[in-house]
Amino acid sequence: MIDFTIKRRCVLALRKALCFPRAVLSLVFLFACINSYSNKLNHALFILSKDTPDYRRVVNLITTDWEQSKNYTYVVLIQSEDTEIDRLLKASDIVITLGTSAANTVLTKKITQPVISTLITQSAFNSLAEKYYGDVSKAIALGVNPIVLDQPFERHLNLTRQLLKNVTDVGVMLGPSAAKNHSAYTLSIEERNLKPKILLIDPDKNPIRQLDPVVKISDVFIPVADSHLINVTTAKWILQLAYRYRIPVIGYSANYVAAGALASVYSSPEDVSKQTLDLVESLLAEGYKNQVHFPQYCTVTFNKTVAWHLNLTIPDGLEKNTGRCNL
Amino acid sequence: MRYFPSRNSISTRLLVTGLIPLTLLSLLMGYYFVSYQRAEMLGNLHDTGQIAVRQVSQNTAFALYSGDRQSLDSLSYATLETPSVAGIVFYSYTDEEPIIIGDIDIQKLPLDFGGSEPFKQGDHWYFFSEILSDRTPIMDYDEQVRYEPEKIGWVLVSLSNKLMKEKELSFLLTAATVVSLSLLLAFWLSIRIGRTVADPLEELTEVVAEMEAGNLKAVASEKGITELAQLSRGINGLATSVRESNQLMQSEIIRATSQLKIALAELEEAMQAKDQFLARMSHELRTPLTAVLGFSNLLFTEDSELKREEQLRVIQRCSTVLLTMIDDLLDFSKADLGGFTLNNSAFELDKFIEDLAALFCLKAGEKGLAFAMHLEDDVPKIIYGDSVRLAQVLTNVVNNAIKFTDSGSVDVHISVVDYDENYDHLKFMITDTGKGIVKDKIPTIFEPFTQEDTSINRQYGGNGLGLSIARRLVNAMNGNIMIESEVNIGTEVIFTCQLAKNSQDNEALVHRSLATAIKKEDKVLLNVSILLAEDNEFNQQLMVKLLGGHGAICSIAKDGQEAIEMNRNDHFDLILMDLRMPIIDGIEATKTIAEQNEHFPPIIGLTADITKAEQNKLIDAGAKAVQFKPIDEIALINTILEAINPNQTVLKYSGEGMLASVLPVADLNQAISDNLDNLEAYLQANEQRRIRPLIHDLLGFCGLYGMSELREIVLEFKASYEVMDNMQNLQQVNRIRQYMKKSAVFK
Repeated sequence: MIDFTIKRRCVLALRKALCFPRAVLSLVFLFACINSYSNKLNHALFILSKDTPDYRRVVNLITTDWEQSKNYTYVVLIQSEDTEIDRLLKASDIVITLGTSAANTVLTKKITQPVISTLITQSAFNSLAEKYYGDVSKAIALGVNPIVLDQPFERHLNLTRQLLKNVTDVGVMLGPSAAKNHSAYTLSIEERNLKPKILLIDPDKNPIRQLDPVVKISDVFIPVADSHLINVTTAKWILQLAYRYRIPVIGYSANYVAAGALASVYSSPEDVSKQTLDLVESLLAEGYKNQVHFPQYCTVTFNKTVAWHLNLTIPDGLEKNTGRCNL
Repeated sequence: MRYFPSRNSISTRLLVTGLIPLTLLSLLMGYYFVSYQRAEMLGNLHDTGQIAVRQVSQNTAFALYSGDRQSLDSLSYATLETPSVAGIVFYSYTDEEPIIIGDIDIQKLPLDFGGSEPFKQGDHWYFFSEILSDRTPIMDYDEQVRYEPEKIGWVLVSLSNKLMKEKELSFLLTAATVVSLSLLLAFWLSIRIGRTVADPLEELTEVVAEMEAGNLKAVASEKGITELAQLSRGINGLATSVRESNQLMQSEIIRATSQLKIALAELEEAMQAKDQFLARMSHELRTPLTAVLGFSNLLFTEDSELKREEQLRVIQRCSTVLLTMIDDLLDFSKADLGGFTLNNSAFELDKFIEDLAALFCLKAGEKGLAFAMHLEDDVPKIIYGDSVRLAQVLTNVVNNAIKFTDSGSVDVHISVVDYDENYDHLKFMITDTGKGIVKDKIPTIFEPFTQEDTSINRQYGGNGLGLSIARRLVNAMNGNIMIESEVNIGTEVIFTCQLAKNSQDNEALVHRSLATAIKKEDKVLLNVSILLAEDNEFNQQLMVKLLGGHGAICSIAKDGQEAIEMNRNDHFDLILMDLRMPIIDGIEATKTIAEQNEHFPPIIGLTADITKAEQNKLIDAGAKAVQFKPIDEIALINTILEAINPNQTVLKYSGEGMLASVLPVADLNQAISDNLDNLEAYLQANEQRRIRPLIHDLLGFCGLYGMSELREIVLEFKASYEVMDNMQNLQQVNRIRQYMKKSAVFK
C-alpha cells in the first residue's frame, strides 16, 4: 500500500531537490527511509546520471503515470558516490537507470533485481555489459533491460526516402562498432534502390580526409552513431563538408539537427518514458525480456534553415512524426 | 634693461617661476603622450596580431585539417591585407612541412617559440596560436560536460613593426612640435605674466625715482592690477601730500624769508638808526661835554674872575643841555621797554593850563611871538590823569612850535571831542605860523632820533626824541597825535587823550591830598626802625632826613654785607635796600636776608634802573616792592606804610613833593624865598658869579625833591640868565615866586 502522505512528501522533496541540487542527497536519504517495500513491484529506484531537464522529464513522465494509475512507490536518486545506494538498491523492486553513468553504477553492483537501463546508446551499453558481465547477452540474462537510443538504420533510410525523393547516392559513415554490420547497412540501402557509399571511419586517421571523398560523391550523408569519440570527432567535419558540398545530413539526435543536419530520427524523453512504462508493465506481466530494446517510439525533427538553404520542402506528415515510430 | 631684466628682477623671477613648471609640465606631458601613444600603438599592434592569429587559427582549421591549400592561401592573403601583417606560417600535426605565406623567415625564429605571449624577433612581432578543432556535442542526453578541442596544428602570424615605427616617429615629431609650441607658449605666457606684474612695478619705480629726484608732479598710473593700482594710488597720494607740504613749506619759507628780510631791513634800519643815534648822541653828548671839559680845564688857568664866571656859565648851560638830553633818553628808554606807567591822580585842569601858559608865554615872548591858549567851556575843571605826563607832551609840542616859528603866533586850543559815562576825550590843537614841515617827512617825524633834516639839528639842536616820546605818552593815555603842516605856512599838531571824568571822589581826593599836605607834620613812621642799605653818603643823609622827618629811626649800612650783619644782629621793622652796592649788591643781600630768617623784615628795593628785569630780580630775591630813584617821597612813604602794615588801612600820604616831608613847608618856603631874595639882590647888584650857585641850589631843591615843573622854570632861567638883562632875569625870579605862590606845596 502506498502511503499518500509519504508519496506527497516524496514529490515535495523531489521538487525541493530540483530547486536545490546540493541538497539532493539528503533528500534522497529521507525518501529512502520512509519508503515501504512490496513483493512484486511496490518500490522502484530511479538513478539519474545527471540532474538534467531531459532526465527529469523522463522521470516525471513515468512517475506521473504511476501516480495516476499505479500504487508504486519510488525513489529518485541522482547518481553519486553516496554509500546509501546499496541500501536503496536492496530496497527496490526494480531499478531504472537514466544515462550511461547511472547504468555503469548499477551494473557494477550486479544486483538481482531487474534493471531497466534507459537513455544509453547501444554502443555504450555493449561496452558496459562486456565490461561487467562479459557480454551483452549475460547482462540481459541477469535482468538488465537496455532501452537504447539508437534508432534502427532503416528509419534513417525511410526518413531519407520520404524527405529526399531524388537522392540516389547515400553516404554512410560507420564507426568501428557498426563496421561489422557493414553488409547489413549496404543491403538496407540497396533494398530501397539507393546506392550506398559506405565509409568505415578510422579513428586514427584524419577524419576530413576520410570523409571528404565520400561526402563529395553523396547526395545525402547518414552518420551512424558509434562510440562517443567517433561521434563528436566526426560530426563537425561531416557538417562542414556537407555544407561545402551542399548535401543534406540525416542525423541521429536532436543536437545533430541543431548543429546543422537537415533532419534526425531520435528518442525524445516522452518516447523513452513511454517505452520504459511499457517495459515495466511488460516485465511485471510477462517476466524478463532477454533482448536489447530498440526504440519503439521515435521523434523526427528538422532544421528548416538548412532545408531553406538546400531548397528543400519538409513534407507535412513528417513534421508531425512523433510517438510510436512509423518509419 | 627692459628687455634683458636682471637676475633678481621680478620679471625674471616670474619668468623662471612660471617657465620651470610649465616646461616640466610640457616635457612630462610630451613624455607621457609619447609613451602612451607608443604603448597604444604597441598594444594596437599586439591586438592586431592577436586578432589576426585568432581569426586565422579559427578560420583556417578546416582548410588546414583538410589540406585545402587553396582555401588556406585565400584566407591567409585576406589576413595579410591587414596592416602590419607580414606573413603567416601554418603547421599541421598531420603534415611534416609548415606552410609559409608572406614575408617570414622561419629559419631565424627561435626553436622554442610558442605560447600565448607574442615575441619579437628583429623588426617583427610574432603571434602564435594553436589551431583547434572543437568537438560538437551532437549526442542527445550526453553526459560529458566538456569536450577538449582537438589540436590539429598551429599558426604563427608575423607583424612588422615598421608601420608602428613610422607612426611612432610621426607622433614623436608631432609631440616634439606640440611640446616645442607648448614651451614657446609657456615662455611667452611667463614673459607676459612677468610683464603684467613687472611693467607696472617698473613704471612705479620710475615714477618713485622721478619723485625722489624732485619731480613730485610725476603721476603713477592707477590702472591695471588691483593691488598695484592701490599702491599707485597710495604713492600718488603721498606725492600729493609731499607736494602740498612742500608748497606750504615753500610759501612758509617765502613768507618767513620776506619777514626775515623785513626784519633784517628793520634791523638794518634799527642798526642804522642806532648807529645814527650813537653818532648823534655821541655828538650831542660830546658837544656839551667838550665844552664842559674844555671850560673846566680853562678854569684852572683862568685868572680873570669875569672870564671864569663866563666859562662857568657855559659849563652850566652845557650841563643843563646834557641833563635834558639824558632825561629824554630815559623817558624814551622807559617807553621803549614797557610803556609808561601813568601815575594818575585828580588835578585841576584849568590851573594846570594856566601854569603852562605862563611858561609858554614867556618863551613865546622871548621870540616876539604871540601866544594864546583857549580852554573851551565844556572842558572839565577837575580830571583824573597823569598831569606830569600831560604837561610833558604839551610842553614838548608847544616848545617845538615856538622853536620852529620865527614870526607870527602859536595858539593852543583845548576842547572835548568825545565823552562817555566815565571818560572825557580831550583834544589839544597847537597851531603855529612857523616854517612848516615837508609833507614827505611828516610820517617819520614821530620816529625816534628823526628830525625833518640834519639842518634842523644844526640850527635848532635837539635829539629827535621829543615827538617820539610825546606820541608814546599820548598812546599811553589812549590818544593819538597827528601833524598837518604846510611849508612856510605853518604847522598844526593835534593830540587827544582820554582822561577820567570828574567826580565827587576826584574832587574829594584833590581836597584830601591838599588837606593831607597840610598835615605833613604827622609822624606816620613814628618809631619805625628802618635799616637803610645805601653806599652813597649824600643819599644816606637825604633818606635819613626824609624818613626821620616822618618819625622813623634809621640805621645805615654802607653795603650789602653790612646790611646782612646788621639784620642778623638787630631787629628792624623794614629794610630799604639799594641795588648797586659794593661787596654784596642789593639783590644778593636781599636773598641772603630772606634765607637767614623766615620772618625777615619787609625789604623795599631802591634802584635807578628802570628796567623790569632788575625789578623782577629784586622781587624774586625777596623784596616786597621797588622804588625808583629819584625818590618819590609820597610813593616811598606809602610803600613803606603798606609794607609794615599790610593788614591795616593805610593812610595814604600825599603831597606835592618830597620837600614837604624833608623840610617843613614853611622852612622850604623860607629857604626858596631866601634863595630868590638873594638871587634878586645879586641880579640887581649884577654879581653874576654869585647868581649861579643860587640857581644851582634852586635846581637842587627842585631835582632832588621832585618839583619838576619848578625845576623846568629854574632850568629855563638858568639857561637864559646870562643872555638876558637884569630886568628879564628879575622877571624870571618873579615868575618862580608866582609859581610858588600858586603851588599848594608852598601854601
